[in-house]
Amino acid sequence: MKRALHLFIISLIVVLANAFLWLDSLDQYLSSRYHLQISSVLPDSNYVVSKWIKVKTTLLMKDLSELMAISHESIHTRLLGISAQKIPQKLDLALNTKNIPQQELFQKYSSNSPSFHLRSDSPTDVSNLLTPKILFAGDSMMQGIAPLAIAELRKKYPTGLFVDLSQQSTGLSVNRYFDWPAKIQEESLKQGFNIVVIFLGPNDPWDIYESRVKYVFPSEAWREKYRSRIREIMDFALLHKIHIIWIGLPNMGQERIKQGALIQNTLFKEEISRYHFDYLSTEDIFGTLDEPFNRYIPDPIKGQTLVRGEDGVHFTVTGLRLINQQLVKIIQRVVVH
Amino acid sequence: MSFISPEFAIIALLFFSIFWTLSSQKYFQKIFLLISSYALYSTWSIEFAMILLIYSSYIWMAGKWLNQSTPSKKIRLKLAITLCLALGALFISKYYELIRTLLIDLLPQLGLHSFLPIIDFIAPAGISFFTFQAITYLVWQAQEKPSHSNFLDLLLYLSFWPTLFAGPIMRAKDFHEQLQHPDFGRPKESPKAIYFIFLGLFQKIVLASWLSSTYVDQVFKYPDQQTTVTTMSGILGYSLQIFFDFSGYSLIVTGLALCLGLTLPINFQQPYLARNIKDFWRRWHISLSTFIRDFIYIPLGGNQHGFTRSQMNILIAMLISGIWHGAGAGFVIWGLLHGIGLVGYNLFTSMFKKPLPSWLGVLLTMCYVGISWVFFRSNHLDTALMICKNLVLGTGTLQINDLILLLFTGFFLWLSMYSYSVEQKCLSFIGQRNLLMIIPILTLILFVIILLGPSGVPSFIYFQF
Repeated sequence: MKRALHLFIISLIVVLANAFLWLDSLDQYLSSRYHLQISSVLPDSNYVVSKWIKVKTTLLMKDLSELMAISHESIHTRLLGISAQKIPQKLDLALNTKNIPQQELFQKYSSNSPSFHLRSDSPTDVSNLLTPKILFAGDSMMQGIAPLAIAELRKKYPTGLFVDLSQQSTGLSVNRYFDWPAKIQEESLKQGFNIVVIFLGPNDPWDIYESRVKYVFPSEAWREKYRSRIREIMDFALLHKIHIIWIGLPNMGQERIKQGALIQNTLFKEEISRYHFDYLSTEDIFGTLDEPFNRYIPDPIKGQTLVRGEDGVHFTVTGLRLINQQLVKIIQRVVVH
Repeated sequence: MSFISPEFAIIALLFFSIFWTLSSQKYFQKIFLLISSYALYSTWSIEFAMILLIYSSYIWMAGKWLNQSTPSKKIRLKLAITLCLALGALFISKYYELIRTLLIDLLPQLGLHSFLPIIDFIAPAGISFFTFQAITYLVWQAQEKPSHSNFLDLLLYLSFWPTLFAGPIMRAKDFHEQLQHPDFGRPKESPKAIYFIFLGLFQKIVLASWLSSTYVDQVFKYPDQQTTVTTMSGILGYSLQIFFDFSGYSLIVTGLALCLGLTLPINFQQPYLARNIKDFWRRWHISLSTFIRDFIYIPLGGNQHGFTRSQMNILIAMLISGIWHGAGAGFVIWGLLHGIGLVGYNLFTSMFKKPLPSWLGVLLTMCYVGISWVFFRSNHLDTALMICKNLVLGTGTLQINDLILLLFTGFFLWLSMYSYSVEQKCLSFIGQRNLLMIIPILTLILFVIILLGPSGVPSFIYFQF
């Protein structure tokens, strides 16, 4: 019993001490995994230590990676006699479109944006893009699609730039720790993307907390908040002549996610149509959201084909290929050969 | 719920405080352990827990039937029937869809229609592991007819949470004997438990995640963009990643089991120091390789029917080992490559009596095992073939990252040679220190592990099997 008590005391203190030291990260984890925000109930004073640690360790890691980059260059110069690529300079990423009135943005850019054709309004209009620079943004669903799409696009556009930044367990609901609108802005400015493909959503049908205000899913207030986050991306894209291809959510095997997908798809479609970007409907491929969820779809040659994963959210390779076919078609249409 | 998640750490504290409090009442301790195992399994899916309960009930009845049968020729038939049924769930959930799809592709070419209907059955987590454990239980009941097994113990055995999701595969006899032992229910070898848990966390969270993100993922995601050098780094990185991932997992669950008073079988013994492929399989995923030996290779005849037949048995056993990992061409090729490697080694030793120098043996084994991992890791056969093709292109230059990986591999192999003495020193250090000394050290180690780990909770590779 003494041994058990010792072991328990050790474990208790070690776990609790680290929970305190990493409280900010723990909050981040719990909010993305379980949609719980302990910061909404705990006073900010509890976070002082963990935030300090986070800042210090982030700086330390940054210094280390810069040191690695310098060593990289030095070794190249000394051992191989060639100069490695220079370390990218930090860019000023302060551009913010939030304060620009939306109507103004529309008037300013939508009428004379030459880069993209308007799918429904002017089907013959073509873009003048020569080299596609495409960012793939989204959650674990995008992690499945992006490698397939990039492999195919690289063959079609050898000089193109294709970057997959998809990260699992992310979305638009929780922007305190992973802010997709900000990330898209930052990376687009840094790498000059002219197309952004977005596929996300299953992590989002949960309450949104912002500035200690709770937007309960699926209230009207939640919808408007969610819409505002979609618009953040759209406004930025419009301002910088970046074309958006938004992949809609497919039917889902889990009730809450399915309910969320119905609302989210409506918002995605409305905003895409408002900004004249492209919307890829996965409902057209896998069946509409008002139908019962089915992991199989009929194939004229192969009969019933398995297209969805066991979790009722993700896709099999066959399912991914079906989305990829449609996605590549849209991209080809957007880009001038 | 992952064993390396923050919520698991908190729940484990609560669990162990109750579990150890009950240590004078073994029966209630077992009930509590059983409830917690099913509760943990239900966090994945309640349906999985129901399937496991029904499956365990079947295994219990089948075991009782075998136990009560008198030794005769009929018992073999009975054992064969019960084993086929025990394997049914595994077959349907993991292989049925592949067979159905293959028939859809093949039969029309022969002018026939596919006849297999859809069975939308989702494989419960850990099914490959608890099915193999169930097999050891049935064989034990048929061969040794133990008197001390009961339904509660069997439920506990098949749902035992440290081994439920990815092993190590524990033999039924071993588990049941340990349950009867007075050590059960109290922490045993506490320094070892602490050492295993922290080493496992470091291997998995820090090393496996670093290798995966720095070297492996890009190579297997975008093979067409790789040079020979980056491909080689990716293969070497994956060889180490899968070791740290699975060994880390095995260490963590072995440490947790020690806290429950149970000793799990050793799963790894410095596999990359193996001097040949046969030696590798004595050191890699030992609980699976010994299972394959005892329950497939030996029943097939082992080495009792001449050289040619024994090589055939090896090939079959390794093929089954590959298929056990999943219904994909990559796993089949991986199993076959290891089978061919073992047969090739046997042929070599039968022709040349003198073994290779040990350094050359280690190098060749590591290269062969590394190439075979390409098929294991790739999602598609095309990817694997492209990666193999990259190896002969002769493109790319050595980067700082590649040098770091080479240095790390060298250091890892060197440390592996002294792993036993390092372990003994650590155990003695932990054992001799008092609480006031050990708590800050462990807090710091965990702090560093979290600091160096990735964001979020990385998943274990072997959870998919």
